[in-house]
Amino acid sequence: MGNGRVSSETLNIKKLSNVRTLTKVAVLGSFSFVIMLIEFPLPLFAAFLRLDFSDVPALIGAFAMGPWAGVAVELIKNILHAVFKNETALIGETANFLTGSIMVFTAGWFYSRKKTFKIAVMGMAAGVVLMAVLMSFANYYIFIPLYQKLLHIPLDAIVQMGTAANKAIIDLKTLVVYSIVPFNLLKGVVVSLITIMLYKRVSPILHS
Amino acid sequence: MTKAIEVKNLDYKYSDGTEALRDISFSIDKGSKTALLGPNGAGKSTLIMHLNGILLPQRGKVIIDGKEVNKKTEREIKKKVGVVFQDPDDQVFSTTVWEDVAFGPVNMGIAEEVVREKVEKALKLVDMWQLKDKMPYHLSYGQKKRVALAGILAMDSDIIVLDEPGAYLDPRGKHDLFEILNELHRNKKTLLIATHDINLVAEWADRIIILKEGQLLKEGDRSLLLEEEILMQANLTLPIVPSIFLQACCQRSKIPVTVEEAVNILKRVMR
Amino acid sequence: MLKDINIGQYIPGDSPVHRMDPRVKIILTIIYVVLLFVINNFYGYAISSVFIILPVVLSKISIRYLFKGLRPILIIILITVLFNLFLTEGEVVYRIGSFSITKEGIRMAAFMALRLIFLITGTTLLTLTTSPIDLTDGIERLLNPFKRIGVPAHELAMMMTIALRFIPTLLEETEKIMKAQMARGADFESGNFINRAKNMVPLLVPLFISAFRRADDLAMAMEARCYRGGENRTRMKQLKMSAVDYAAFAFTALLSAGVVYTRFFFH
Repeated sequence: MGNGRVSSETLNIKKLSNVRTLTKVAVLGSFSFVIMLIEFPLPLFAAFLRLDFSDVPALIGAFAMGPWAGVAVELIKNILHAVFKNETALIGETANFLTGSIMVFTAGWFYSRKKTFKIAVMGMAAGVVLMAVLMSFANYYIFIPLYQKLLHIPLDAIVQMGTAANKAIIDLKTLVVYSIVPFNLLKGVVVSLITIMLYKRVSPILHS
Repeated sequence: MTKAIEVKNLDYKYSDGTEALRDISFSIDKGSKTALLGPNGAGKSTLIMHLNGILLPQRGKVIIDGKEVNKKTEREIKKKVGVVFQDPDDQVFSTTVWEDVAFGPVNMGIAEEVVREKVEKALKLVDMWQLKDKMPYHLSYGQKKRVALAGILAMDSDIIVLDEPGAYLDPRGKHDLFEILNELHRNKKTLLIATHDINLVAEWADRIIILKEGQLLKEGDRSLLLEEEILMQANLTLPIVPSIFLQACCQRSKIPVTVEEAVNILKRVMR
Repeated sequence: MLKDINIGQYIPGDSPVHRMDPRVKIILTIIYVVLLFVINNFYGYAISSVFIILPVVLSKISIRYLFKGLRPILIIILITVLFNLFLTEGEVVYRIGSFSITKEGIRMAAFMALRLIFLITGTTLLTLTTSPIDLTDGIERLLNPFKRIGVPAHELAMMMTIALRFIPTLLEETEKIMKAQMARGADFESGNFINRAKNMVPLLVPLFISAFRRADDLAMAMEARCYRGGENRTRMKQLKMSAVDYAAFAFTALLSAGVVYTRFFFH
């Protein structure tokens, strides 16, 4: 006993579907945080730029329950990270939340219009691009100036260091374009690829 | 007297076409100890979910204490019928034992002092009061199971349904659980357990309902436990005690079902 | 393997800092962080060091744990110090090749390092002395007044409770499935990034299925116990602030006044 599955359309009250969304988002958020714990950080700036699979449950959540559910999964994940880990006085969590939410919301929004595999892939592609673009603006206009102001790091020096590594970097704008954009694109593509590989195998439960 | 539970011609079909319940009818008296028997997939869980309005009948009726279960009464029914799920990990989720037991009463919106009283009473009944501030995660399986039961008791339902209460419990844990159930029986609660542990049923139940492939195979009192053919049809076997006595001797009418009855017979014989 | 992952920083204890109302601790931490960025001179740092040393001493938490909290940002502290040391213009005191260290540079570097260390120590102290459960509880209660403008405080709190409850279960399940797959030759710990990513897929599928099943079952069990969202539930008694909390507030007010004073009237 206890194995009898109940599909959502046969359950009697509408409210339950909300309770179900609530528990699913919570469990996915928890799952996402657990994946974050088994992360694969890139060596430099590990605390600020993370490369992990923790956006995968949020993406799946957004496909299954709509774009806002995906954002909620990202929120739960980052609150959990803040209350357990708290390494960077919320800066890392805020950046991670923004990055993940933009991608997940976009992908979920596309999919909510038309639920096909093709649209899901398109949605993720759009999400990754939008995330990379918006996050470069956020870094250019908010995060980098914030670091500069708070920590008194002279931007010219960082740009000079960048120039040493890559001739194309000549100012803050090119620095963002050649360092942060590729990183975010890589992250988004990896997460999307894993989600695509998962999609077919978990989609039956998404639509139940 | 109104029956605690009345099920009339209940049908239920899942969206994938599986017929989980077909034309089920039975009734349960107030204050009785009923066992719902049947192999895996017989429809026990589906039936249980109809008893407190998690599922509503597609055809037929479920009547609890004289009230038909439907969209309008479903809230009230949930207060009347408490369901203890098979796996306590699916049910117990709060951060402390106390909070988890309070979850039901808090949802019912009753006054805070009453919530506190009910929680204390329920936790003391299952002997978990001293662990009230512990995180459920750190408890043993048997303890979690008792917390799950307390969570239902705190809601003060007249009817308590337990899905596989004995599953994965060690013998001592099972024994303790049934002590609690007997205490509830003395408190005039109507108890229904779904299980396929036939020996447990032999010791405990006074009424038997056997399901098979979504249909009611047979309903009756404890003498049903001597009918090997019917039990075999439901992938069950005779309970140990009657099985011994049926092979050894005796007129059918004298066959004992519980250990206690058997002991009494043996004492007489051996004297 | 996963057992080595230390998921929380919280160190149980019974100090006055541990016993403080989590709401108060969160608010005071926020005030403290803001103050750190108001400070612009030596006296300000002197005052704020009292602000951090006193609770550290009271909490009886070993300094070792605080240093551990600093480890993830060590590189950032180092970079900040080096940049400030060598690239601040002013009166030169020392030269190494083409680099020069200025008096202003030393000052700036020290200030920025202190700012970062104080920032991380302060926020780490919050998570060291407050359990994730109390922190979540505190966050919920602080969000409560914002319910009226549409912040779903109750839903968020409920989701956090459920999420907290599933962390150990999911960790255990991950480990179980990893072991089962390693027994059949799967490899999670070597190979390049792409390979590792590929190996994650067979691990994630059963985890997703089990997570969704658990969420469904829990929803049903909650429904069976009359749960239907935040409305019409009994309001249980709120946390009460104690003397320690009020003392902490008074102390904070005093120090904040001190810091603001040094900012505008010294230097």
